[in-house]
Amino acid sequence: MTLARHVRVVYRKELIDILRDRRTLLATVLIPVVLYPVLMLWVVWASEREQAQLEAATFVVEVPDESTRDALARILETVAQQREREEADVPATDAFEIHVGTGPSGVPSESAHVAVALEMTDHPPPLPPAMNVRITYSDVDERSRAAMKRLSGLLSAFREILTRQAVLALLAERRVGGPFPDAGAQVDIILDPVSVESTSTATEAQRGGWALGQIVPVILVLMMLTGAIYPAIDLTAGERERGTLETLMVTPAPALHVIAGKFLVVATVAFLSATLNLASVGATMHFAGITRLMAAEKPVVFPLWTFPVILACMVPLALLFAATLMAVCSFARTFKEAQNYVMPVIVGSLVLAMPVALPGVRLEGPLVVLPVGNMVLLVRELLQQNASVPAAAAVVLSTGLYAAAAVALATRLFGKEAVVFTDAGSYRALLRRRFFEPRRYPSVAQVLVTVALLFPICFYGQLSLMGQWDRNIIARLVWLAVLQFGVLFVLVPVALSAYFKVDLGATYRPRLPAGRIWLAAGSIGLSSWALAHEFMVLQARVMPFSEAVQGFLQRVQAELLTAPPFTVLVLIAIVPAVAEEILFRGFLLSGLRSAMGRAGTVLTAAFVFSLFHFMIERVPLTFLLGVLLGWIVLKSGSILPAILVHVMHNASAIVLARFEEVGRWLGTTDAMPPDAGHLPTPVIAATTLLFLLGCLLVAGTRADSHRGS
Amino acid sequence: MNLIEADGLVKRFPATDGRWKYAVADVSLAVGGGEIFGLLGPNGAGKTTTLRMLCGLLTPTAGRVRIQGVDLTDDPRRAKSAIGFLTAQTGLYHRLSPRELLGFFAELHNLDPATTRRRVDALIEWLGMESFADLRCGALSTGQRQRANIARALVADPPVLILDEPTLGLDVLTNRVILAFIDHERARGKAIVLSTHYLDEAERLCDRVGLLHEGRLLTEGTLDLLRTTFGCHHLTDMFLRLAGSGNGIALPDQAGGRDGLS
Repeated sequence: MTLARHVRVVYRKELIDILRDRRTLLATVLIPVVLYPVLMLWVVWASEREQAQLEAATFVVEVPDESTRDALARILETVAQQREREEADVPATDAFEIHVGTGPSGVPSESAHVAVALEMTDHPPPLPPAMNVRITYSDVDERSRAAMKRLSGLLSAFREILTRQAVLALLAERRVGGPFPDAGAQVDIILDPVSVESTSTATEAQRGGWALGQIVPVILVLMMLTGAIYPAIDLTAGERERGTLETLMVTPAPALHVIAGKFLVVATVAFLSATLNLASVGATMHFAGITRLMAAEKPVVFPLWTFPVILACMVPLALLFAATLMAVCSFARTFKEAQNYVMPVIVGSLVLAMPVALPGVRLEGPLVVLPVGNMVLLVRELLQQNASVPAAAAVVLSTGLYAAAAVALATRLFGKEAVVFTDAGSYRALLRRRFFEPRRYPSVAQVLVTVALLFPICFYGQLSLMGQWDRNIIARLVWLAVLQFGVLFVLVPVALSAYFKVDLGATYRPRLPAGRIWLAAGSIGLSSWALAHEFMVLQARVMPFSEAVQGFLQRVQAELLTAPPFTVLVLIAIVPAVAEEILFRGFLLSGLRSAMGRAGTVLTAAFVFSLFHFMIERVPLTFLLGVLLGWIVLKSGSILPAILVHVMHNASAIVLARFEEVGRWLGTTDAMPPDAGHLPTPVIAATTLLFLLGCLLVAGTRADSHRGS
Repeated sequence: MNLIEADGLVKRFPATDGRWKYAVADVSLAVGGGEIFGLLGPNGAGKTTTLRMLCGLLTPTAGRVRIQGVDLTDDPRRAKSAIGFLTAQTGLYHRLSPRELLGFFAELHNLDPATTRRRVDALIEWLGMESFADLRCGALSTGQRQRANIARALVADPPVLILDEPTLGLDVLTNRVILAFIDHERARGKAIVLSTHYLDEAERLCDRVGLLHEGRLLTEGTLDLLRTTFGCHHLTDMFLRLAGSGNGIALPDQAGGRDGLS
């Protein structure tokens, strides 16, 4: 009896103890109850969306010549008529767009989903013509596969129609049963007038990569996170629990140096863990024959050469994970507590990574900037060898931005007294305005975390808003001006600055500069468009605009030409310029300046500014513009000349597009950079001189010597 | 010359009720070379916070600390390189050996490799650590760990030592090692600030003591001066008299100081 009693007493006490620990409750109750429904709803929503997209998609079919196009169009029409008559069981035909242009290889071009070649032999009636259809597709591309399947379905429907027509004709002629020559061959023709043969263009390596891509990316990303967890806890909460943190902080080495060393260790371990996982999962899947099995027993090759590229692209993710985990673990007093704090990071990563891992989801649209999820998609596309350079660059750069924000946050937290000494006040106080000391500038962590949060919001907003082609361009631009420029670029940073007790005058520098600075800004603003044009012409030779971007820009440009000029000027030139200067050269630049040198500040702010233009093709030029504007602000100590330059720079593009004669004389109308030529030499010479004059005037001013408090 | 100078130190923390809590309200002290200054006071008096400000772990809300004349807030790197810090709770890296640990801290103090080697060997010999210098710290006994910790605090041979209850909870033997080390360092001309609960320890070691109560240094001076002032022989009695009613000596004006700060 004593045994039972003791067990019961201990059991009861421990249960009370555990249930009173809120963190245990969180881990054991809340997460399973909330996480899985959320995850499942997300996955179901994403897969339904994917399915709907496939069903609504228009597939591009490429054919070698016009006669094939006409024949295929007739087939589709016949099936469509049948569909109208019978309604049931006949596939929809309106999903195809037929383009002429397949080369002699029979392989579809990049813009087409499948290529079709058709051979037709006519027979005397009532026999149907015999058709041999060859479909070339890629079995590692979901959309190409869907197009192939849809087309095959249509062709078999067409075959049935032909057979039916022939049998009906025979019956009408009452020749059934009667002796007639070559009966066997004719029955074959009647029963199988259309033969479909589909060939995949996918290489063995692509197939191997495709099979790996179904499983490896999620594992890889999550294992990278898992690999970083233990060292992140050990080097922060573990250090505090052991009582070694104080000994480290009392050395002459600044906290920033200490955390940089620790952070690099965590990132290294995360990266090594990803490397080992990639090698191990990849090799296991390949050598155990799983990839072959997944590729329907077709031959596969292990795409080993993609691995270094994948790992290189994942470096910013390792930094992001390391910094996020260290920031979170900095709050924990003990190892156990840190394990609980890490839970939301794991759950968050799962929620971001799982749904995009569904087959068929492509790295495009808003997914390009979805933290963690974008890397899952990039790894998959790299494995499948169908990743595009702009998309890959966007993933790496946006992840880099998130990582920078997380690093700044982790650094700031690590040195905080409330975080180093848990008895030095509650760290909830870290967010309470009452306890903030007034500062000259916002901190690096505050500005970087803010822009990292704004980044995906702006991306989604801009993408969804500008893509609504059926709405008036002015209406869309007004929404953009209010939501993105008004709220996100101006209201959010200014409100946060006020909350952080930051000196608004020092941060946003709205002071009137000397007359010569105005003159300088005017000269630069008048001339920068020409240099920008020349730069874009040169850039287009190295990195041509993608068709999609070109189409988008041309479409917007055409719409803008129909709108009232003054409204366009306000919405395209003035509002974005003012708002962007406030965010990037006010809030961001000042925050960076509180901890960085002048050059580092200007370059970093310019880089973030260029990322916010969301098109890899526009990054180099906007980066240079950002450098110029940042330099002007630091040199003149005022944001106003930068606003003037920015407005004039934006406005010149609109003015040139409006006044066709000027544009034609300059060679800038009707031509996007890939086709546009250089400006006339006198124009280049004059604008370069004007630009240099402006720069010299700026350079001659005494530089702003203020560093943050 | 005073190696440690603290002038009007104040430290406040955000409290959970949304107000500021003053852990240290007004502390000024100066310690010269070859001198041990004892900081005494009950729990929560502000001893640890004061010592953390003296060694640069906490930034004072108001007031200044100068180490060898260098302002700790303005030039933390130079000031901190002159400080050794030790408490009874400071831990060691369990997966490093004492020798590796000392090498690590020597490098953080920017010692060159040759000096580091010389210094580490000398400390290992002086503290009798030869037998366990290459074992992992996790495998050491409490006494051995505390010796490794002393060596860590001394690795850059800092002229200033800040010791926060260095003997708290240690056994008699380890205690003796620590006390001998403190004596030895004073003899070598170092300026030492020591906080302790053990009044006998303070009486044995300290040249001067300061009595800290509710974040204020109520009184400070040589033991002889304090004995004359209080009219009693033992620190215990002085402390009880102070903590009890505050009569016997003129206390600083509490209200004025605090209101001026909040």
